[in-house]
Amino acid sequence: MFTQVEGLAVDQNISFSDLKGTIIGFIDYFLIRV
Amino acid sequence: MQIPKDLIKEAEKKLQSVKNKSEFYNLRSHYLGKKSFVQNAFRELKNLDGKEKIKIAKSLNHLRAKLTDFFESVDLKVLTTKEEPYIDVTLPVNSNIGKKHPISVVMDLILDYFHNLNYSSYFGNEIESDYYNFEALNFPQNHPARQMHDTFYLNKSLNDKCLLRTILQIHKYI
Repeated sequence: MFTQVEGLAVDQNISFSDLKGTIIGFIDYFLIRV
Repeated sequence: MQIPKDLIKEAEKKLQSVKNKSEFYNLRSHYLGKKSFVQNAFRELKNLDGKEKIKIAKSLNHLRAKLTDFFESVDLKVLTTKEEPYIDVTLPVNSNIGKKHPISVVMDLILDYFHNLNYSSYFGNEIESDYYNFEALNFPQNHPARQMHDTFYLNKSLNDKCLLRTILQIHKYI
C-alpha cells in the first residue's frame, strides 16, 4: 500500500528557490530532527 | 349475555405497555385466544335460543372481526424497536487504549510541518470515478490495472464515481 503527499503553492513571484527551501526545510524537520 | 362495549379500547390501552413480541402475543391471545371472552361467548351460544342467538352471534362476529383487525394493524417492528442512545462514532477520541498506526503518525508529522507553514491540507476521495482515475491519465482500455483483480469496482455509482481509488493523485485542484 502506498501513501503519498503532494504539495501545491500558488502565488505571484514564486520561483524554484521557494521549492528548494521548502523541501530542504521539510527534510531537516522530518529526517534529521533529534 | 352481555357484551362489554369497550373491549377494543381496553386492548388499545394495554397495547401501550407492551414492550416486546411475546408480550404482544400474550395480549393477542388474551383477547382472541382459547380462553378469551370471545371464544367463551361462542361456546355459550349453544345455550341460547332463536332470535337472541342470532343477534348475539352477529355482534360477537363483529367484535371478533374488529379485534382481529386491530391486532393485525399493529406494526410489530415499530412496537419493539428500542430507542438506542445515539453514539456518534466519527467523533475523535482521546484515549489511552491503543496506539496510532505508524502511517498515521507519519502523516500527522508531515501535515503538521506544512500546517505550520500555513499550508492547508486536503485528502482526495477514497471513491473515484473511472474517468479521473484512468482515462484522464491515458491508461489504455485493457490495461491490467483496470481489471477486477487490481482495482475494486463498486456496484452502485454515486455521482459518477464507482471505483476505489488506486492512484492517489486524483483530486481536482481548487
